[in-house]
This record gives sequence, C-alpha cells and structure tokens, in this order.
Amino acid sequence: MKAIILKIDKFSTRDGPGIRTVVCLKGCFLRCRWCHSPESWSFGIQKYPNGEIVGIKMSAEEVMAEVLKDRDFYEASGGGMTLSGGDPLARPAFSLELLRMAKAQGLHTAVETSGYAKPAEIDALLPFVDIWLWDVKKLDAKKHFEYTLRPLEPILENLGRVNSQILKDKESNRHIVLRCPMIPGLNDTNSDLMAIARLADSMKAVSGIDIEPYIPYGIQKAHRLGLKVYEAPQPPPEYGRRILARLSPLTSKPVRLP
Amino acid sequence: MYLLFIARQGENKMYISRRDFIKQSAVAAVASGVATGAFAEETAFDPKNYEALRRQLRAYYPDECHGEVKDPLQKQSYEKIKAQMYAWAKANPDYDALDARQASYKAIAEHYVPFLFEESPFYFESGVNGGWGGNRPARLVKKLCYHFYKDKSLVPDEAFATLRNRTAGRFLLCCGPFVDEIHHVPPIRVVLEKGFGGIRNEVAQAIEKCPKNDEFGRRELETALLGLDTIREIQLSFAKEAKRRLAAGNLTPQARRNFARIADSAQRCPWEPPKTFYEGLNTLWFIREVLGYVDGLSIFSLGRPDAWLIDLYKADIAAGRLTKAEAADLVARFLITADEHHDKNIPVNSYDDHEMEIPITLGGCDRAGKPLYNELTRLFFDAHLQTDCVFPKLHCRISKDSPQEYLSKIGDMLMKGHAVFALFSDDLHIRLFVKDGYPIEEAREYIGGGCWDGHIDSVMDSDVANYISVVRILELSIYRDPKVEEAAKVQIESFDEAASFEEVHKILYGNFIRFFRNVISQYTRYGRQFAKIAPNPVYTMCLKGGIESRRDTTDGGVPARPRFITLGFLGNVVDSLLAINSVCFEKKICTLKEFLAAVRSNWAGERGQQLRAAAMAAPYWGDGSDASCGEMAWWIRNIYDDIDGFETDQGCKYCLAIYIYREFMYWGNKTRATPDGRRDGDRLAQGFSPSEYRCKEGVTTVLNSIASLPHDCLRASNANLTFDKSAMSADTFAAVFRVYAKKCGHLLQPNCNSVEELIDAQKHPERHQNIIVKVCGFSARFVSLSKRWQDEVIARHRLM
Repeated sequence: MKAIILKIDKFSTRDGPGIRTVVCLKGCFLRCRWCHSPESWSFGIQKYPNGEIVGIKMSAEEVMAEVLKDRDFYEASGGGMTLSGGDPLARPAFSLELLRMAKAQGLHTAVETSGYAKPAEIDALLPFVDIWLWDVKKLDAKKHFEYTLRPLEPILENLGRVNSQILKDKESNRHIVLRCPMIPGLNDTNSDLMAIARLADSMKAVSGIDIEPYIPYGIQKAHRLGLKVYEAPQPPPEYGRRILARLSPLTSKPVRLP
Repeated sequence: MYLLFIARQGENKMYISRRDFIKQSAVAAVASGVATGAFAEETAFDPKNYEALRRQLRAYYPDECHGEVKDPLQKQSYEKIKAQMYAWAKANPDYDALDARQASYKAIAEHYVPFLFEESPFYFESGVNGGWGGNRPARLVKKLCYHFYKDKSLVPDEAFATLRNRTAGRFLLCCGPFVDEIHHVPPIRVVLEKGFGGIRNEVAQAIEKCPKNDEFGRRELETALLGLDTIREIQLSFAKEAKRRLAAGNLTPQARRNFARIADSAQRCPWEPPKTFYEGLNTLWFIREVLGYVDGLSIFSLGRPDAWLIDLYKADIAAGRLTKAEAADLVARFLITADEHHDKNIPVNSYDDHEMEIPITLGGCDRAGKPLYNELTRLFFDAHLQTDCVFPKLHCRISKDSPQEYLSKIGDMLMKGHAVFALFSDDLHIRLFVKDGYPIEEAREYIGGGCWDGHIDSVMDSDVANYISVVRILELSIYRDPKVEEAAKVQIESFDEAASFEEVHKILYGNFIRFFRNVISQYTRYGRQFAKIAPNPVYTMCLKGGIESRRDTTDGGVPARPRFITLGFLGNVVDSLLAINSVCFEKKICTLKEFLAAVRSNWAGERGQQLRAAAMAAPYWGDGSDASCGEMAWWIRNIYDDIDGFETDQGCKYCLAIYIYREFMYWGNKTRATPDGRRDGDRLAQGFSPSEYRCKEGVTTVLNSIASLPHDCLRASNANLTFDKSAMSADTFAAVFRVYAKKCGHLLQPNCNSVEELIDAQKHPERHQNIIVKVCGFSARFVSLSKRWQDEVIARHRLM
C-alpha cells in the first residue's frame, strides 16, 4: 500500500512524549483558514513554481523502515511514531497499516487529527493508538464550518467515541490531548475558552489541553501554491501566556503552553 | 530521494507551537521508567564567597593563556635557573640531554620560588601557567640541546624544512618535531597510591639492580632520582613558605587556616600518598604543575576526582575530619583555580586565546564496571555551574547504562547555557582499550585527555596532536601548484581527465595515501630523536614499564604510547566525491572538466551557481544515506588498513582519529572552493559533524550516520552537535546521550541555545554573561568570542 507523504520529521519532541518521528501524510478534508501547512491539503504530489516537489509516494514498508531507524532514540526517551498530516484520518487505510506495523514493532504511537472521519475508520485505528492529539478549532458549529469548511458535529461524535472506547479498557494508558490552535480574534473569546474547558472536563480520557498560538508559516506556502489562508502577524509571546491564564481556571485538566 | 523531504529547517518550525510536550515527555518518561524526573538536592554555592580568591588568582595568572604569570619573583627565579643552566652548559660543552636534565633539576631545586594564595588552601603553583605558556625552566633543556638535531645529524635539515613547509602549507599540524612533545597523560593513580616518595624508592631499588653494562639505563634512573628529589624540595618549600607567612602575621582568618593546613600537609604530601580528601585534591593540582615544572610537560588533565577521591572523602566525613560544607568549599576553590588561569573576558580571536587544557573527568564506571555517579560528582557539577566556571572542562563519561539522573543533570546544565562538556562513550572506549590489550579494570579507569582523546593514566603516555588535512590534498589535486608541491614534498596527480568516478576516486585516494605514508614514515624515522633533545625521566618513572625498561618515555621506554594520526575535514572530501559522482557521472549534468572549472571559478556566474546547486543536491555526509555513510566508512577502513600493523618509532601502535581543532575556521579561510559546494574561504567540516553548508537533517539522522561507521578502526573522534533549546529538555538530552554512548562515536560535544538568544547576546552582551558555548575543544563565554566566532556558533545553531 502506498500513499503520498508530505515529510517525515525526525527528532520531534513536540508531538507526543519523548523523541519521535512524525510522519506527515498529505491530504486533509478541512480547510482551516489559519492552516500553517496548506501544502498538505491536496492528496496529490504538487510542485512549487521553482520546481520544488511537494510530497513523495511511499509504501508503508518504506515509511516504517525510515521510522525504525530511530528506534534506539524512542526506547531511550519513551518516544515513538506520530502520524500527522494533512490528516492521517484522511488516509485511514494507510494510517491503519502504519500503526499496525508500528505496534508489531512495539513502538509507542500517536495520531494527530482533526477527528473528521467515518466512525468505522476510527474504530479500526483505536487499538493501535496510544495518544490521540485531537485538534479543537472552534466549538461553535456554525463558525466551525465557516472557518474549516467542514461540520463540527461528526468530529465531536468521534471524539466521544474515542473517549468511551478508551475508558472501556481500564488497564490502558491511552489518552487524548486536546490541541487548540489559538487565532487572535477568531477563536479566543471567553465563550470559546469556556467551551474548550467544558469539553475537556466532560471527557475522562482527555489528559490535558495544549494551547497553540497562531503561527503564520502557512502564508508564504499558500501564495506559492495559489491558495488563500488567513494572514495575520504572529502574536507576541504574552498572548499564549494570557490564554493559559484565562483557560486554566476554567478546567480541571492541565493546560500547557509552548 | 525521499530523504530530501525530511526535516527541512524552515518547515520544522511549523512545530514550534507544540513544545508543551517537552514537559509531557518528561512525565511519560518517568511513567515508563525511563526517567527519574528529579535530581538529588543541590548543594548551594554563593559566588560571592569566592570573589576574593578570584581576585588573587587573577592578580597572579596572565591575562592571556599563553602569557606569563605576573609575579616578579617567578620571573626572577626563572632567570636564575636560566643563568645557572647556561653557565653550566658553557662549562660542560660535551653534555648530552640527560646531563642537561640533571643540571636543570639541580638548578630548579636551588632557585624554586613557591607561591601561595591567601584564599586558597592548595599548594602547587610553579608559575608555568598550566602548561600552555610562560617560562618553564625544564624547557631550557630543549633549548640547550636543540642544536643536536643538526650537530649530531639526528634529523636532516631537509626533513625539517619539509615539516615546516607542510605545516605552513596547511597539510599537517604536529605539536613538536615529528612527535607530539606537549600533551601528556597525568600519572595520578600511581602517585595517589605510592606518593612520589614511593616511586623514588622503586627507582633507587632499580638502580641497585641495574645491570652493569646498561650505563645509559643507569643514567636515566639516576637522573629521575634527582628529579624526584627536586620534587620533594619543591613540596617542602611550600611548607616553609606557609610557616613564614604564618609567622609574618597580618593574615585574614581564612589565610591563617589555609596556611596552617599547608604548613602541615606540605611536610609529607604528595611525597607520601594523600591521607585526606583535601590532600587528594591538592595532589591532583600538584602532579599537573610539578611535572610541567621539572620535566617541561603539559599535563592535560586533573584526573577523575569523583572516582579516585571518593574513599578519602567518605573516610573524612565518617571520622568527622571534614563537614560536607567544607568539602563543597574545597571543591569550589579547586575548580575556580582552573577557571582563573587566564582572563576569560579577553576576546577569543586568535589561535590560543582560550585554550587551557584543564579538564577533569567525571562519571563513567568504577573498576568493577558499576556506574559511577556519587556525591562528589554532584558536588563538582553544582559548584561548576553555580560559581559560573568555564574551566576546568568537564569530560563526562557516559554509557548506555549511566544513571538517568547523571545524564539528565548534564542535560539540565546544558539547558542553562553551561556548555562545558565533552561526553566520552564508555561503551566504545572501554571496548577499544580491551581490544588493544589493556586489562578491563584498567580500561574502566580511563580519563579524557586535553580535548577529545581517552587515555589510561599511570599506564599510558600520549602522542595525539598529529593532524593531517585530507581536504588540502583534494584542494591541491584541483588547484595544482608545483611550488607548493615541491616545498611540501607531495606528489599530486590531477583527475581532470578521469573518465569515470572510480578513476577520480582512485587518483584522489592515491594522492592522499602517498602523502599519508610519507608523513608516517617521517614520524617513524625521526620522532624518537626527541629523546636526545628533551627526555622526561621523572615522568617516565611514574608510568607503567618505565622503571623496568630504564628507558625514557621519549625513547620507547613506556610500552603504552600510541601515536594518533588525526584526519581533518574528511566530511568535505566525502561530500566532494559524492557531488562529483552525482553531477558528472550519474546525472551527467556536466562534464568533469566543466564542473571543475566551475569549482575553480568559485562557482561564478549563473552556470556556476547552477552547478553549485547540483553539487549540493547530491548525497552528503550526515544525511544517513548508504552513499555517504559508505563513502565515509570506505576512507576510514582503507586508511586504517594502510597503517594497521605499522609500529611507531617507540614500538607502539599508530591509531587513527577524526577530529579537528580551530583549523576548521583558520584553514578554511584559506582553502579555495571545493566540489561539495563550499566556496572560497568557507569554514570546513569539524570531525564527524556534517559540513554546515549541506546539513539539513535532524540530529538523529546525523547520529545514525556516525553510528554506521567502523569505529573499531578509530581511537578517537568527535561530533560537535548543536541542539535547538526549544526542542530540548534535560531528559531528552539524557536519551540522546544514552543512544550516542550505545551506538555512536567516541565523543560528543553538545551546545544548546536559541538563535534569538545568541543574537540578543551579540547586541546586549551585558544581559548574557553566563552563556557558555563549546567552541571546538574548549568552551568560552559567548560574549567573549570575537564576532567571527560568534557568527560561527550562531551558524551552527541555525542548522538544527
């Protein structure tokens, strides 16, 4: 089985515990306005105007061979493999194949996703995922659609589904981390934060909330590919701290900031 | 070539907002049993308590590390010794080097001037500035005997001229004529066990047993005896001086305590073995300085205090002779003494501005192989960090089995901007020492040398600073220069007409290996002649086999004296070959002639830039590809095969090593463009670090590349790696160190800062006084580096 891979990031320390290899699959169903990697939206191989190729076709075996090169680092740090994208759930069969292979090798696994997928596809992945890094973009359904061009409801249903499935297995260390991109003026009102806090508190399998202040890395890449994304300057470092200070009192779950 | 899609620098930053997993990582690692997540309680040090000591040391030691101590008495002492030596030489024109050494020992004993610091409890200071400069009476022997090279036809003038031309021509660097006469391993354990007096007794017995027909051996022993007696005189002079100062009065309570202690201890130690932790610490300094003073050596380490003094420390504590606070104070003063050997605030720009070669080795394992991380290790770490020391360098031995707290502690200090570490892999070093025939218990005692080489003290002598530039041969193969070739006696064949990559490869390797063999043969032929210029009898008797052989260590008397031949800039050569193969033979983007023309034009014009881009798209060292790892391994294996079995002039092994000192900057400035895409004057690749103009891989890929190499063919190597602070934590460092020890090279020298912080430090140095960076073999305050060195360190940080 083959898929288009956007990139494989080695020595990632920000996408799950320990030292990890992040496999970014190309293709995503959402079109988040603030996306920092619009080159990952398309499922196909693309070309920047300067001829630089975006994406490469790889088999699951090839990807796994690359991932396994860093096995020693995973073992020494408690790390492993993280699937990201695009959205790995947009390539459910390939993701399942990779996760199966990773688990067969005894690797710790994480999946970073928007959560937009068919329930059956989520069910298939569940036994092979240690940590779900679940993006929470906007909890107002109407605005969610406006900002991402996809509905919120199936995403929340899937989140509930993962939560309840994880809780069924009392021995499991599996958990969910909510990852919240914070875009000034778009999703950082008090009601946005209260909704995030309520969501986190309502799900026992959610272990914490990560705040991800907006970074404008997508703008230039979007221009080069003839796409449009939200354009704003990077907020100052205090912005993230302020969000942290506002959100932390609203929830019983730990809130973290870069 | 999907690797090209991996971990591009700019794109990596898309993850910058996710670093919260640093903390989560630590939590998860604790849960999984990988990490402890906590340190034992730190010992607190207040730098203010040591300001007076620092002032006194600063008033004594030179500002520049190759300067002379400021005390006029030391200079007068040197002048007296010099006058006596020259008068003696004039009166005894038929002298040889051993005669001169004897005369030197006598003059030193007569005119030695001890120096004590009121704020220091230690006695050792001989005014030789730690071995890297200053007037050293013992080197007068070399001055008086140097003409023997010519007069006794020891080395032909032509060989000297070739050596000079090769050095000036950037082909090689040797710390002495045909032998590294400077760097030496301290004989610490033998003195801790026997004292210098014990060694003297053994030498005296050996004289009695010396066969009558071995006149030369007898003279070596007798000279050593005289030298050891001189050491005793020096030691006793400290006791005398301390008593004089006490009697003179007008002392602070601290000074009275220190001098009373010295007046007592210097009566017996280290003539007798140290009996207390304090005497043990003093002995480490004393050995280093006194051997520099009497034999002219540069002893490059203060040993393993946490391994070798822990029993004295425990016994003192148990007997109530020492409190933990007193021990901490001694450790701080011990470290600060190294830190103030020169002024660290003067700008680092020229060759030796900040090199003091004063490391201590910490951690590792004990003789039984049990991981070693004890109260003293922690004390040295805490004192070094909190009293803001740059020196001594901390050579920390790491292993896949090292305690998590030990590795995390190093990581934690790095995160705090305290990059003073060279990390030696126990797993590899101990295995290689055993392979070379040393008993495993001895192998486990090894220490780090001045910068990057491992040695077993009291057993081995060293001969390590013999660098050869591989890239210089490549440069000359492209830019032919008959004058230089003639002067440096190198035979070069051009590869412009080569019809295949294999032919290019063969010609270049041929050029190199002819030069390499010639250098080795010159060293083998002439290195031992140094014995007739400046023998080291006292030092010889401290090393295993010296007394039995009755031959000086310079004359093959110590069986364990491997000679390292160190290859520089192999990364650029590997990259250049891979670029030639890719551009000219695989992709056939242009002919070899056109490509070399572009290189010679320094990539001029649009076509030049196109070809440079094509060269830089080729595989390169550090990318983890089979091509680059294979090419690097090929060079190492082949050069190793070429010297395997060769014996040095001392009857020891030749060993290969891969590291380079500051020449990556200085020689790089003069090296013209190379086929790897390097431009005229660009810096060269350091050790196993990938070339900075090519590397776009993550740290794990670089480390996996290094791990793929045949390390058994090498005895030392270095990787300077720089870590992005935002991606790191103490436990992440611990994991990297563990893997490095398990499967990578000999030595890792890490840096960890953020580019933004370093740029801010350039603009506002006053805000960033405490950032210490590893430059190459040494560390320095970032703000004291000259602009070009600061830029180089920042460039490294931009890579990862």
